[in-house]
Amino acid sequence: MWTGLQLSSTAEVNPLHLRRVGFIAGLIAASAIAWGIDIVLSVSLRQAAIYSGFLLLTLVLGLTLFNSRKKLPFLPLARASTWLQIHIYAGFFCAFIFLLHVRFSPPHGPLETLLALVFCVVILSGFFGIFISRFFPSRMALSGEPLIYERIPAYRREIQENVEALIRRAETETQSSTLADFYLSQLRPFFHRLPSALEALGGMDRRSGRLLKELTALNRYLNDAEKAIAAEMRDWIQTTQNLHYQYAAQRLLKLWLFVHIPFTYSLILIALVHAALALIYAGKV
Amino acid sequence: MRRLLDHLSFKKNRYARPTQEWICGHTYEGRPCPLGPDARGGCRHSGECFPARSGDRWLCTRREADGGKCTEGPLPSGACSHPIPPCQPKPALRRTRGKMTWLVVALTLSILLLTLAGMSRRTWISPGELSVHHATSAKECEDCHTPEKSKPSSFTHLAVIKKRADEDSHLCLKCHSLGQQPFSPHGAAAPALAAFTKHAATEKSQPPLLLRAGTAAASVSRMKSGELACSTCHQEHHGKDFNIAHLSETQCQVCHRVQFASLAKGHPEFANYPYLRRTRIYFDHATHIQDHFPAAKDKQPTSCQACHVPAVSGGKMIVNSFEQACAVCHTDNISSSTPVAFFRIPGIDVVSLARAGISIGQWPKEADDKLTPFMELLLGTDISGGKVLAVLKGKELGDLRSADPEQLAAASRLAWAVKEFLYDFEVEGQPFLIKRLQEGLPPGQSGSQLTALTGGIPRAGFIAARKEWMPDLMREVSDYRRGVLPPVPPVPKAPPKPAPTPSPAEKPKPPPSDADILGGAESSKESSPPPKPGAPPPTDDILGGGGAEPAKTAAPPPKPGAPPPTDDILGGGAAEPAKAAAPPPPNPAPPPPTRGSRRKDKNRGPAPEAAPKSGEPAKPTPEATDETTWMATGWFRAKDGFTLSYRPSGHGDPFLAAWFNAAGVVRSSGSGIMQTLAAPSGPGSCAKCHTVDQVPNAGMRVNWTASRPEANAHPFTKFSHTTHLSLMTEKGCQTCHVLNPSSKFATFFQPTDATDPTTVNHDPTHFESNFAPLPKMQCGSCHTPRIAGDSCLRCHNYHTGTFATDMSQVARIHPIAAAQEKK
Amino acid sequence: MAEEPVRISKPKRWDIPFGKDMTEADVEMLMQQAPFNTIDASKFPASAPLWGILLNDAQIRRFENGDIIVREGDYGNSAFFIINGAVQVILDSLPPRMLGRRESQKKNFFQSLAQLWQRPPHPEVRDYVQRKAAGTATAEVNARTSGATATADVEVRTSGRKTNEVSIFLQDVPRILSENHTARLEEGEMFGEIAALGRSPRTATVIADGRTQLLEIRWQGLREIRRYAPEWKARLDQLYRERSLDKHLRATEFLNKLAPEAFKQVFDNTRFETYGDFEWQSTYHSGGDDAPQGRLAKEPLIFREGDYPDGIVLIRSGFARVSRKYNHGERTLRYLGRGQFIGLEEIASSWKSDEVVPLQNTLRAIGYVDLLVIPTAIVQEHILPQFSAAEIQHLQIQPSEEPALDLEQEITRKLGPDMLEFLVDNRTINGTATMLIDLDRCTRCDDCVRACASTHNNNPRFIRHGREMNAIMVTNACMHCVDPVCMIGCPTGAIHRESFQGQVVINDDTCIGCATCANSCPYDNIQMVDTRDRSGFFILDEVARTPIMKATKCDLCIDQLGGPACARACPHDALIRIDMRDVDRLATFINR
Repeated sequence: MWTGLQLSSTAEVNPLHLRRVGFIAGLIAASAIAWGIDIVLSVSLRQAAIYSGFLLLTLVLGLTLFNSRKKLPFLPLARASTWLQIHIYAGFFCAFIFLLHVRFSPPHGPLETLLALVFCVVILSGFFGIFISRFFPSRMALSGEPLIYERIPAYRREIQENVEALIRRAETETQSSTLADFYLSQLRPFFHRLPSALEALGGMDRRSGRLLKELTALNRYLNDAEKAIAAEMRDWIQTTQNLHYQYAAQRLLKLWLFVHIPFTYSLILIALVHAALALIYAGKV
Repeated sequence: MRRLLDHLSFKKNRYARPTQEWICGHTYEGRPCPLGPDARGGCRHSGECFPARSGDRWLCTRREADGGKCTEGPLPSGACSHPIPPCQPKPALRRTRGKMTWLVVALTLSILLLTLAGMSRRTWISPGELSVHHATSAKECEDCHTPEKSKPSSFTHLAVIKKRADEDSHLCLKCHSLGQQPFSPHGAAAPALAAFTKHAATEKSQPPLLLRAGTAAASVSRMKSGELACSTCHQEHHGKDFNIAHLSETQCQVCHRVQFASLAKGHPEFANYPYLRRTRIYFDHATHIQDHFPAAKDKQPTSCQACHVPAVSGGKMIVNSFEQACAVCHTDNISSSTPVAFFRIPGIDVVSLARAGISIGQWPKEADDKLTPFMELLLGTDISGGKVLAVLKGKELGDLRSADPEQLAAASRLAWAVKEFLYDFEVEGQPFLIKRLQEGLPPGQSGSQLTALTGGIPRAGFIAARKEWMPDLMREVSDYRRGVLPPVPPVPKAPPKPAPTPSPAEKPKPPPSDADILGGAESSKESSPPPKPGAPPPTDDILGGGGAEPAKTAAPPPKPGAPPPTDDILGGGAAEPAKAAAPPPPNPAPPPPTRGSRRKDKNRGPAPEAAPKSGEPAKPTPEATDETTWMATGWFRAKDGFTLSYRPSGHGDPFLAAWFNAAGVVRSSGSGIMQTLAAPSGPGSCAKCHTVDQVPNAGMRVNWTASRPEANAHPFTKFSHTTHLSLMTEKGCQTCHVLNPSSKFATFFQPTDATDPTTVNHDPTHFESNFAPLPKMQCGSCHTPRIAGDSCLRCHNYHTGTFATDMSQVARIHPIAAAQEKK
Repeated sequence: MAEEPVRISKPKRWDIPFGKDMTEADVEMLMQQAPFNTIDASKFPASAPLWGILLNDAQIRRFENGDIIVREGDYGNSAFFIINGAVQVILDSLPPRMLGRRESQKKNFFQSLAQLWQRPPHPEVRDYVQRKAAGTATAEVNARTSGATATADVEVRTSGRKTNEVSIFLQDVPRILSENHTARLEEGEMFGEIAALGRSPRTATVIADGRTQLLEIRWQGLREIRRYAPEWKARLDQLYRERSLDKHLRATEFLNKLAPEAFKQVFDNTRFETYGDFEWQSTYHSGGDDAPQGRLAKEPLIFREGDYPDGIVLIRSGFARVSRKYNHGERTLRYLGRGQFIGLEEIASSWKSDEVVPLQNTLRAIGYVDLLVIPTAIVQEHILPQFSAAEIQHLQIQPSEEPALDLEQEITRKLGPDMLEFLVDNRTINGTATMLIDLDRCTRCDDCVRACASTHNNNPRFIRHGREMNAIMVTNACMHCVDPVCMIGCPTGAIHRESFQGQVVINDDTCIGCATCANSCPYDNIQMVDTRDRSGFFILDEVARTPIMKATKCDLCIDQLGGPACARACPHDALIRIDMRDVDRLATFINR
């Protein structure tokens, strides 16, 4: 190219889509193969459950490695994104093998039931995790400026201080208490109280919408100076709404791991006991 | 967009540090202190700056990031005027998460500990309820799992190495007895399996893909020596309603050499099912249905059910009893059948013996016939087993002129054996016979059997006969046993027709006219040189002294008083009918009667070749009336003949049946008896209908009944008639059992050589059925997956053989039974 | 408050001199001889006297015949003055193998793994006992030309005087000289100043021609001299132009294939032009957030849409914005970086035709830009004739087309107009390893930050925030600029280019925490931190009583095995480090 700008006119295929298709294909293939093998094994009067059990245990342990990789970012292990992809699809595979292992019916023994429950907790929390990890980011991006979770307390304080300064200014500069009254009656709780996750995430934060309307309604009582301040206040309300959303969403995105990770270890422990018992009583391959 | 909160300027920013474990408490008020908490989460509150001294004043050193120099400036002391109040540092989110993880782990561990170490451990580790069948009988793990000591070492051993299934399988046998080799496939013995496999190897098989794969993956032998652990097919702990016996046809076939998709596709044709052996009763359906029944219009059965009815179990069809099914036509040809010669004084060439200087005492000259096979058994092992018969083999006892000394000795021994038999039987009675039978027959004969064998034999009849044949027998035998032999009779030059020696047989001859009740006495008075010592008192005569007298005088019998007086009376009684049968005996014309009797004897004799000749059964009866001496029921002796014969009373005659059974199991000497009885036209002509099977190394077995459902039999193929009766068409049973007229059915029951009855086929597997074998599709038409199901287990048992589920052991395990036991 | 904070004196410039064994005597010797004796030392400020500069910012180095003094492509921050002997400048590129390139010092596996437990619990912990040792060590390292690996073509030898000084020399020098274009530099001349002043990689490899003694002056020193000694300024600029011109023209494809005499013509007639402020970041900072129009107005105009094209414009260094009128505003179509040019099409179109095709676009300098202008006449006379008719045809702008489907369209289409504007306005285009985060995928899990912290002794080296456009966030992390203005004004040279891959890194040991770089960085990507001792207390300056500060920034995990940990640690493919010149990759990332 004349300008040395290297441009290729190849039509872009979204690499992520390609990857997803590939993985899903792989997942289906693997599941099919596993199912086939399971059938063949049971036909051959072997204890298919022992094989699927071993596979399941290996998978679970393998999936746990993802966590350890996160703790070793300095080693030239594969990219975390690759790990996650494998983690996700291996997880789905795991779920399928689990169904094979329990013969698509709830287990009978108490220990087995406990194990199955813990397994479901882990797997389902995992599915939930994938869902929210794909669902919230884009919405957070739309909601407003991205905020760092750890800084949110500081931001809230900043907002509160700014808003109060603003109100004080309104009082001093305009000698009218319209905005101040409105602030005390309506805005203050809004700025000072964090909404519940449901409030914040469940569609739009109704409070802020209402407040904005009421603020507009106030315009008739305001002079230009106050209008300017009101406009600024408007910004703060929207900012706060965004802050509430960011806070709730990020909190959720962090909290789901509080279920997923602890119960994984619990799962491994019970699984090991279960495996040992199975080997002792049900015999070998 | 307008940024309201986030400032990019490095002056207003610090790195966010998500790796820090503790966060300054002031962060939540929006003002984290610059220093921050220590490693253990303690607050290290300080001032906002560390004032610097320049000369004598302190300067604030707070930086822009923290708001720049403060207006107040440091305190005179040099301390910061904005001390940061102490805070309670908060753990970072991830630290909390870590704590939570440990909490959950601890919780899990404690749960596991409580469950696995606690009292209710067993219920916890049980992977599920047992199926209903086992739920009650197996209470503890150890009932089905071989108990193990819980050492850590053995734990790993169990978990990693040991194959538990083998031992556990033996525990199953506590309740389930599955025959000799419970774990070998189908409970079959190794050789049998080998044979099947060898046979199957010749078959070609077209397994479906899945089955191929399964076979490839299969490890056929999961226990040593190719045996299968129960758990191979029976998986427990899958809940009450789980069918632990179910196996799919692919699973069944995985071990098989010949594999196929379904009954319709690939299942081998039925070879000759259900006709697996010769019928036990020789009943030719073809001839009966085609010839006999039409012939006897009034008697013919209306339908198959007239003879065949389903067994209670519903499985087999059973044949009605003789009385119901056959008697209507076949009763008379039993009673009219030839009698069996049981005992006989064999004819011995006394002269030749005498010439050789051997004395056998009294011996009826007229006797000139062979031993009966029964006697060979009864004369005792030294005769039957010993060399005697062997030596005399093929030698005509009646003519010993060319006999060598050894044979002569044997002959005399035989003679004495006969005498001793008569003596001992007369003295000891039935116990003696039983003793002899026990010697002769293989051990393990039940008392009832022996009784059945001997019960019918009339002692009195024997005594009476003996008195006629050898009056001096008692003395001779006792002398003989003392070593005193009777004098050798003088030998005439010419072959002696009338023996000069006074023989007891002639004694009654001279006074036949007055030979009445006192006849005996008369003779005793008149006979001048009677070798008998001392004339018996008349009283004795009345009592048929001849018999009783020696009992008193002769050498004391082994058991004093063994012959009780009742016997004598009986003996007398036994004589009465003889008199009644022939009130005034006609003038002596011995030759014809004797000859006649002799001829009759021949006819009755066991000589088989005689059987076919005496075709019409009506013949003997008139003779019997005038010339035979009836003893007990069925027993008779031709007048002054030397044979005691028995004629069966009717169908199912116990005496004959007993001997028939005995003959089956008896050793070498028995073969004679069997030949006698097993001839289709033999006595009672039992063998005409009842086939005799040669049972490998168990002798011969007579099939007294048609096949019956045997208890505890687990055949490979199972079939229930009752459930199928509804499927019959107007052809009735012939819907499935199609008559096959061209079959050589009969030939497998009749002797191959008409002249020699011993050539009768005794091999039940060597046969041809009356009916055409069942074509596979006869079943296959209904037994498809959709209609009647075609899984292997529908028609086949896995566990084959004959065994009863031994529930005696269950008592120990079964809670209810156990409870009762305690009481 | 268990223990007293460690107190040491705040490090100052020249704490660690450039050459550790530069002696007063050497300085005196230099001061005696030309050209230093001609310099008016009185013009120098007391803070930076000439002799001080020579003492601390310069060092005398000796080379044997064939020694490699500088290698093409290295990012050097020093210029060389030939005291005696001569050097050969090899104008053509030598194969890297011949130059004995080395990988930068990476941690080995176990060192990497050790970071798992060697991490201190507190942020920004420094161990000053170790630092002293480390300081000298780094000084030594600076003193070397380079460490080297012996290959077929190069050998390592340690000259007798300084055992720690390692130098590479080429075998069979005559062959190399005969095979390549070379230029010989004699005693009294100097070289390496382009790289030193332009913050650009070395343009040529220089080897010693016989025994040679050189004075190496690091660019801070050179800057001072240039500033306070006018004759040096003239001379430097002169050299600077000539050498870079030749090199640059040869680097340009369509000029490179010219016949020698044509090239000569071009060479002689090319004009030099410089737009904007060498230290542009200050102005940029002041107007950080104002409206686009204002920003455009601030950018110096190079030529305007509709003007007569008076020549082909080549960019030597810096960036230029290509824009076109769009209704009441101007739409940015693309940006030109080093080595790119504009105006050929217009000239080609008006060539051999009566009507003149005016310039289609407006060109503005983004910050500071160095240009070469090849006059139209020369182009038409010597360059265009070399093209085939087809090429001319391809170049010519058809007036009918409206607007012409050309590269501008291409790149705008790829990135989207607003994204392009955004990148140019914020001068993100400067970055060679810009951290972009796709906010549509980022779950804010902070794994990137954590990874960064665990690869940097428990200290993150970037902040996960920044300006965003269409949910693409330009994260607050060092971009390792093509034109690293942060390096301007570092008094100690603690901030420098990694010799091979050109990452901009700060040598923590020589950093004095003056915050110059942090201030210079137009993107606020350098953070000043308070250092602490192992117990987590601040290390205070005895006098100022303020914590000792250090400038910190992303070093692209230069010493880590796997490269940038942040990008590898992102589980959601939301984060990349990208060279903004790679438009395709950028487009794929933005548009996926």
